Amino acid sequence: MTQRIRAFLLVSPAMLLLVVFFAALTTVLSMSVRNTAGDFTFANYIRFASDAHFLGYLWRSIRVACYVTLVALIAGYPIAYVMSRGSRRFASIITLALAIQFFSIYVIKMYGWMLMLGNNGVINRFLKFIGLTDAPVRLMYNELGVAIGLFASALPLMVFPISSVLQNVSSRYEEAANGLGATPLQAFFRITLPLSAPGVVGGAVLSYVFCFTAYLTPSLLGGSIFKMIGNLIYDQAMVGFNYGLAGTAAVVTLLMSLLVVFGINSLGGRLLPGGTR
Amino acid sequence: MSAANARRRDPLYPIFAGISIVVLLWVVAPLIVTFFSAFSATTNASFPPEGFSLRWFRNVFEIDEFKTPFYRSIALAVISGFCAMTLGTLSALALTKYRFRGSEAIDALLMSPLIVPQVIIGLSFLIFVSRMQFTGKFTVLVVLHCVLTLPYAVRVIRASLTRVGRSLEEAAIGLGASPVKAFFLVTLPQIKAGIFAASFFCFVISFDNFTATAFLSQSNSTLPVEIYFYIETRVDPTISAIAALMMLGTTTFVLLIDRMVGVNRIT
Repeated sequence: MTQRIRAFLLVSPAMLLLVVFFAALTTVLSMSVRNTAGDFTFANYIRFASDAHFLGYLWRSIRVACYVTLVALIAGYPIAYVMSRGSRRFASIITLALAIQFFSIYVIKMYGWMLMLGNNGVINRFLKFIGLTDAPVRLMYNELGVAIGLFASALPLMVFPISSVLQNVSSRYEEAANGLGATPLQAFFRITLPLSAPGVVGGAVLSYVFCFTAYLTPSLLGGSIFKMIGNLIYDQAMVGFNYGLAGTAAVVTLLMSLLVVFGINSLGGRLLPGGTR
Repeated sequence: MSAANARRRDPLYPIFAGISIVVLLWVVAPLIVTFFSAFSATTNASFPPEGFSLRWFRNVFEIDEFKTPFYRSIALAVISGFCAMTLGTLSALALTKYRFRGSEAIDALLMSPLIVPQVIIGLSFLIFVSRMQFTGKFTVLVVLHCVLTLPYAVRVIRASLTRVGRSLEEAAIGLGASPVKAFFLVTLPQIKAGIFAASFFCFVISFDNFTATAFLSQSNSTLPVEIYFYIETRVDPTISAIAALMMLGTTTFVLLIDRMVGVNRIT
């Protein structure tokens, strides 16, 4: 009993902070179900669900988040594999490069992509230099630019969970499969990949939620052409001062994120034998 | 040696290694481009840079636009990091030292700021403080950043507490030290590396944060927010110079963490 009291005393300062956090979260919910006069109403939700303009934000965000996560998985899995199976030297170089990219200031990373993708950017200069194009190709202020920027930020979120799981999966299982006559490809798809499923599920959740709720990347690389749900929340709150509608969009975003978290979790558990949490 | 042999026989390994190198070069390329564009002699932040000059670096220190946000970001990261570390250490101690009912719920609560998307955290703080008539205060940013960094502090410190175990501390208490004394003289020195790593980590998370902070920093803009408003309208090598300096900071941070606790422990 005294143990319990001591423990609660130790966590109480942190709990106090989290009370503020949850109080703040609750105000979003309560704002979203009130009109400007303060009466209870679902008007904001009805307006959101019946307006194609608002639903467009949602659809674009879901679409980009889905395929960026898929590409990040395909591009990221090999990195995680090399980080856990490569020679110590090579693995640590790869890990450090990814960690430096991951910890670089987010705004700076996106500025870097602006330098890469702009009309006078590195890629367009290169394409012109090798004579592939005459006029600059539009790589920014559209969906492609946003997807490229999101991919770069989502990649480490995908790789680190997978590599930490793979590090604990002994390569002896693969060797045993090989010894029992499996081809290396069979061993990979039937042993290694299923055993790393918890990492894949974790990485997919982090990557999806990050992309779905992104705000900075679409506003710098999508401009006014390609805006996502994060932009809607920000613009409604900061430009339109419409906290009710911003709150509604936020509640919808949170619910849809949670839905996907549970969805990916159960899908991962169903499809892959090792994928239970 | 068997691992090296396994790699040699694994036909997937060279393919995966090749993909890794290409993908990593792709995501690191913008950082390299940004770094070198800072040395441009012209007003174009382009790569390869046109000419060579250090004038954009001088520009960074001369224009006031970024000076105040820079100091504000530093102060914010230090203060909120210190608070989060204090709260986080106490919570991590409770979770590792004591077995009690509800500890799993408390653990989940401590990690909850990681689950809620940052736009929503930012919006909720904005609405909350405007209802409390508390807008525009630096304190609000401190509280926000405490919330954002607390889960990381708890996680890193908890991991290092678990690793050192409790036997030495129990021995000290058995030999007559008070629990508080045993913590400061025995446990703390053992988790020093973890504390350093967690502090750096909190600092970087706070210093880097844009998405949640953008909702609260009209009058109190932090460095990332200021940079955002600057590059929304124009691109010039001043930002590249700031970026180059910050990249040096990030690289030092990652290498230092790697030396102290191993970078794969905290990612």
